[in-house]
Amino acid sequence: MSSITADFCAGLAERAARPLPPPARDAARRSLLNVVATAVGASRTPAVDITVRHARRHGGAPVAPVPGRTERLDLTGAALATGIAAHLDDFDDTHLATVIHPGAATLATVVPLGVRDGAPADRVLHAFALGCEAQLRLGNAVSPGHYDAGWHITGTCGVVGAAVAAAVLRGLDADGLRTAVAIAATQTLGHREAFGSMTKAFHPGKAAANGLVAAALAERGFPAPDAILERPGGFFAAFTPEAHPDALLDGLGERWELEKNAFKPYPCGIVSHPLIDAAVAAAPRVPDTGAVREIRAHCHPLVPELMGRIQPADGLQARFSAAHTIAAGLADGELTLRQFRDERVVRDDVHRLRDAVRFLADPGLRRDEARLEIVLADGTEVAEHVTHARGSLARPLTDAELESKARNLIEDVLPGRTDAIIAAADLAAPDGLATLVTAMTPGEPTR
Amino acid sequence: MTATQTLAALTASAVPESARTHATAAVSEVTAAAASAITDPAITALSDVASALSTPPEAPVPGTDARYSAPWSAYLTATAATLATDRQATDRQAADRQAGTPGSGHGAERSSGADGAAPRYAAAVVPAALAVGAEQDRRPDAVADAVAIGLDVARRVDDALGDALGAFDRTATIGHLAAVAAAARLLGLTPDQAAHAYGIAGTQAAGFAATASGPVGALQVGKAAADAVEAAYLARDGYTASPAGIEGRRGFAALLAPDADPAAVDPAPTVPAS
Repeated sequence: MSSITADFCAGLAERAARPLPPPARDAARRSLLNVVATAVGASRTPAVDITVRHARRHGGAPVAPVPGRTERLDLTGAALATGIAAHLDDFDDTHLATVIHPGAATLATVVPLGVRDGAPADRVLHAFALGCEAQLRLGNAVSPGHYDAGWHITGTCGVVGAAVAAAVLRGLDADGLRTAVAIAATQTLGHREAFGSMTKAFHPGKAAANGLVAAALAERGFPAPDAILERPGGFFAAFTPEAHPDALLDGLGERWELEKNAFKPYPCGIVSHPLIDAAVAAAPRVPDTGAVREIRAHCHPLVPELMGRIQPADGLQARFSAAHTIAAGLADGELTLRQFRDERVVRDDVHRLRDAVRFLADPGLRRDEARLEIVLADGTEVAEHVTHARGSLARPLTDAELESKARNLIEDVLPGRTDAIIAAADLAAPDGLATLVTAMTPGEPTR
Repeated sequence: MTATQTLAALTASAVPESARTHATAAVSEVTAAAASAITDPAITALSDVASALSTPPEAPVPGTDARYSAPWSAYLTATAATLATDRQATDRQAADRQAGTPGSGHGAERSSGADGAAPRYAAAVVPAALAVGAEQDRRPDAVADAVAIGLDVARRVDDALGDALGAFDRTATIGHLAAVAAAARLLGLTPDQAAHAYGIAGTQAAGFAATASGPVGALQVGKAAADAVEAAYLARDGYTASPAGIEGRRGFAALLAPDADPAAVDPAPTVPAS
């Protein structure tokens, strides 16, 4: 049986039968560490509390962990809670070309299933890599029209990625993969209307749960139509005005979209990141922020358009205020989740600094480029030019920067566990998943 | 009032006797259909997945002695009921073709709209109501009222958006909103909670008209019922969504039926007699 969908699934199955090439393995390791850290970081938030409570009441046998929490839930309940936590702070991995956050749904698939099955760690990492790769390739095939139309691509493509991850972890063959993908493609979710509510993060969580069920049905021989992606009235026809099906197969197995997955160094809108780099770099030369008279922010026009709010009222609004990110970065010499706490956002020093910010939109600047000029009361000027923001494709986070980010996220929730989590998150040892889960679970002694 | 507000308020509305009678008949019909397909291999596969999760025994599934969590009960019942009616319709069409009587209208019992067949919202609404009704230990007339409200929501959304749904399966997509209305009624959600429930369910509206027939098509409707039950519980517990899930700029109507106007959703504040 030959179709684009079948060829795509055959390519994934073929890739699953061979070891991951070292660069893809490294990309998977880095994506996994980042998304484990974001999942732990948001594990005690109301959205996750509600979901865990729901799963404990209506869910089944407790076989799977939730990062950062003591409860065990059934497979799909753990998937939902994990995926929500991983994406909640919008601090997870981002594939810049599609704006898919592939790690959340995929982590939420492979950890519960891997734990339930006692799967070897290298297979878990492999399933994670292919689950990410499948959804990124599908994302490329429907971009940019699909997201622009209003679909939350992390949810819609995430279901398919989760199904692929689950199918690979369960060892399904090409035909099983094709069935899992067919079922998953009819169970997508994600309207961008949900942005700003808990439902945005629900999308990758439920994508994982749906993907697990799709793979389980495929394993049991549930009949499903072929060519689900490209058939008339199928996925492409329904979801995008213009599809590029070639993107599914182009270099599949040789070239990895996963290697283009990027990690945000700051928990806020990405367009402000070059300005934040500049503010943090300038901070040591501006020890007294009370002396700042004016801050000129030369930036891409998208910055004032998407993040133009000058005086945010709380932490959530501050994530979309470039002025706040500059002010807090300059005042504190860092920009972590701490700078987005409500009490930090409303303090006088950053309020005054935000008022001093003036945006000078310059279409000649790249999106990952910015220049900051800080004028002090005595007339001196401190300037910083950032050619490529940290976390951009041209300037990926180093392993040390990624580990520092993970530490910031993990230590608030699981003090003293960061080193154990970092050591286990490469899933190199055969029992690596069990070691990682122990390190992510409160109260359990680390190994 | 926006469409979401209208439909949220409707979940607390009184139900006329005639609508309740109609809903009671729908309950019998869907229950019988589900029971008739329960041994189909596709349903066996789905119940096997449900059993592997060993969920708490909250609600029954017609034609079996087994009990599942409320969402899984809804999933199984709605999938089985849809599969049964889909097969009956296919058989009838084949018989019509043999007898040389095309277009007799029996196709109206098929599950979706690509071929002009009428959707069957009861297949999503009734299982969601039965599941939550059982879990909440509610009486049959309370379940019937919830079904009546769900069917009324389906009618209103279908009238406004149905013809513009294009590639999407009417029963499965609008069924998400209709089934969550029934579940919200039985959980006694406030209008505010119900609005969030519509948002959580609506963002999950999925399934294609092109795959509406056959086991995957039945699964599309089962998914609507299951998602709706889960959405109602989550909204009750404080999970939030957009308050404009249906009419918002990037919401249900804009994405699934961009050529339709969600303001055309019937704003009448009560369930009409049927």
